[in-house]
Amino acid sequence: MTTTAEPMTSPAAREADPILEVRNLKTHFPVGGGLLSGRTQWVKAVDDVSFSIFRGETFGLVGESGCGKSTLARSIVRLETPTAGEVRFEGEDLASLSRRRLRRRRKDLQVIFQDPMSSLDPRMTVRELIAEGLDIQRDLPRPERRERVEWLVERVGLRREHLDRHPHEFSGGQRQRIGIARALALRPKFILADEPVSALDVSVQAQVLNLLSELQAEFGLTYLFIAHDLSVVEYFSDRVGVMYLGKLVEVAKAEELYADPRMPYTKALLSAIPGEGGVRGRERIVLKGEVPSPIDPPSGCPFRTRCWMAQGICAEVTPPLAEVRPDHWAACHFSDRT
Amino acid sequence: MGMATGQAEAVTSRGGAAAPPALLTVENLQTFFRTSGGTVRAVDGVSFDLAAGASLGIVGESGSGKSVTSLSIMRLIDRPGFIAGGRILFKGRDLVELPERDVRRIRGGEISLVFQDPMAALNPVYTVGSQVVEAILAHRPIGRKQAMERAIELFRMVGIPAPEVRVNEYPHKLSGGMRQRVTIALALANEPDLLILDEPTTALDVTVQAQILDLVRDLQQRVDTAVLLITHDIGVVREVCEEVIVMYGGRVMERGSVAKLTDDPKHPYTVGLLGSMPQPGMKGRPLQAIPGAVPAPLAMPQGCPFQSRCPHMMEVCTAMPPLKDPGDGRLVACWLYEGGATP
Ligand SMILES: Nc1ncnc2c1ncn2[C@@H]1O[C@H](COP(=O)(O)OP(=O)(O)OP(=O)(O)O)[C@@H](O)[C@H]1O
Ligand SMILES: Nc1ncnc2c1ncn2[C@@H]1O[C@H](COP(=O)(O)OP(=O)(O)OP(=O)(O)O)[C@@H](O)[C@H]1O
Ligand SMILES: [Mg+2]
Ligand SMILES: [Mg+2]
Repeated sequence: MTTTAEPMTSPAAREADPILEVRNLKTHFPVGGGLLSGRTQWVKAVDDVSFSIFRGETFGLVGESGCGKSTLARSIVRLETPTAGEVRFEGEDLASLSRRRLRRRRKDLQVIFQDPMSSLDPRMTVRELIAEGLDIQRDLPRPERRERVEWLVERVGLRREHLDRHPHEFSGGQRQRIGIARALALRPKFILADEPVSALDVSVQAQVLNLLSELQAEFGLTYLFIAHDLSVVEYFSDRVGVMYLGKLVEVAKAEELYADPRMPYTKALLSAIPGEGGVRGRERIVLKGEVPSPIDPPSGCPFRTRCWMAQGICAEVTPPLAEVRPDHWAACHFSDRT
Repeated sequence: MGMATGQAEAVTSRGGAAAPPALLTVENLQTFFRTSGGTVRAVDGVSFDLAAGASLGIVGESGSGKSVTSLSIMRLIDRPGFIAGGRILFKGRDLVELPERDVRRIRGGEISLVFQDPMAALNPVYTVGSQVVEAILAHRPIGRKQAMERAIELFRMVGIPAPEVRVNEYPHKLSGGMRQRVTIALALANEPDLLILDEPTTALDVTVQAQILDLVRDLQQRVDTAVLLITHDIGVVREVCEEVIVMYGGRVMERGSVAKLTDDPKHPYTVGLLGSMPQPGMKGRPLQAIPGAVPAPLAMPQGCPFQSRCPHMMEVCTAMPPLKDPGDGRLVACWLYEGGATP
């Protein structure tokens, strides 16, 4: 069996400064096995994933519902405890930190969720919501805390008079701005944005994306960005990773990935972007069958059951995520075929 | 009122001497909801027409009145909602005035509707096959066995593998994409002349969405049913429709061929909507977002609903501009194209 190669070992990647290194990460969830058999089954939500995220970049993550994007991202920021593997943040293995160190570290890693309503306590005012994180940070004196909250609320495009209102008094876009202000309060280095614009109307989605870009430039933020709209991911990300059935199957610069995907699943996925026929003249690849169960994934390549290029080897050997071009990684035995 | 005559021009939008007679003509439709805070004018003077076998998309943001328009056509508006005005002519008959008994015959027969959530359309306690059979029997004087054969045929047509086995499955056993195929089979059971699809793929993954859109396009050509496709994604419209209507605040802002509207949008809202969507090659540049948000339903301004977010807002915008042809065969409801000013 081949081991999974790591995108971080490429020469160009070594020059870049990885803020996060993920190595052989696995997050498996137990699911109720047969009561009588007493056997626990496992959902391999994230199954042996390795990659790096560079300082200041936006790393986009795509893949179909249930492929493990959120679980991977949540495992990275330790909202989920990985089953195995390593996550290094600025060189430090997060799992090895003491509770105190981890708490201090945590302020560097913040999260913006899809539905701000469910992550914002309805009884709290906007001021309390934004200040909540700051309160943990004892070293900041009160007047400065207040000042920072007021500055933040304006920076994300709301007004000071909004500070004393409650989340339900705001539109979806405004609530997402509150979520962003909250995430920014502790001056993080890294932000996980899990579908931050998916619940918003297109016109408001554009406002929020613009805001996230400005903030990234202003504070040198690194983003892990998840969205199901593939055009949004292409536009917003520097590099993009594609997941299928718990595995990372392709990683490349956004332009290159969208122009020349090497992994068949990526090809099929990108060919499905609606309205693209005219724009890029891509031929639609219609996938047969359905995504296999993450409880009992196929042997070898996870995509082989739906792949039109599959050969005998695909059932026997899991293709490693290998560098097929400079800075372009794909997990396919036949990535050199067009 | 000038507004009424202006909107009514939409009726002739297909223009040309050889234009086929419209299958569906919506004329100045108004559908309101009485709420404790006041009357919500969810659809406020919408007009459009659709020829037999043609395909029309409706796009617009959340709350713009897309679903209420489709529910009005199906006469599925319940209290506190009501159709406050206008006509919905289907094959020459006004659905607004039709007795419920006749409407029931049309619903699921000559007109059918597919919703975003297939589970809402399917009954969890019956097999998917028997649900299609019931739909057929409700409109046709044929036997159960024959109806089941037709159900299997429909399943095959919408691309469900092993249809003779799948008809015996319960809805929860099927994937989201398969369920949506079942609801499309259900909608096609009686060969409708008009198929309304309200966000049929919003809940689905892109690869499944692509399959469903291919299916709709293919069916539309083979079965020759007219399609009204509601979505917030202009890319989805591009896949299926010839023409598109852009709605905002319960009104039609612009209507024309998909190519014309996307290549050269005229209404400031259409311009903003397209500018908000990332296009290949836009990387590194900010999106042309529309500032602000849609006003609350009860806070809609007098006149053009887009005025509060419009970069070209003028005094005259407090009156609703009529839908007019700016000279290239489309329709725009904006004073900029009324000779008042140049953009
Ligand atoms: N707490 C949990 N317990 C059991 N299974 C879980 C849990 N969380 C996620 N899963 C399973 O793990 C897999 C990956 O889920 P995840 O939410 O990471 O997918 P995703 O790619 O984010 O999907 P989506 O696009 O729908 O958000 C799915 O099969 C899901 O059902
Ligand atoms: N039962 C109801 N009571 C009160 N208002 C209603 C009701 N149903 C719809 N509305 C209002 O009608 C307006 C139009 O709603 P509609 O569902 O048609 O929007 P839509 O364009 O389909 O939006 P979406 O993209 O979110 O589906 C909204 O302002 C909505 O709040
Ligand atoms: Mg997710
Ligand atoms: Mg709707």
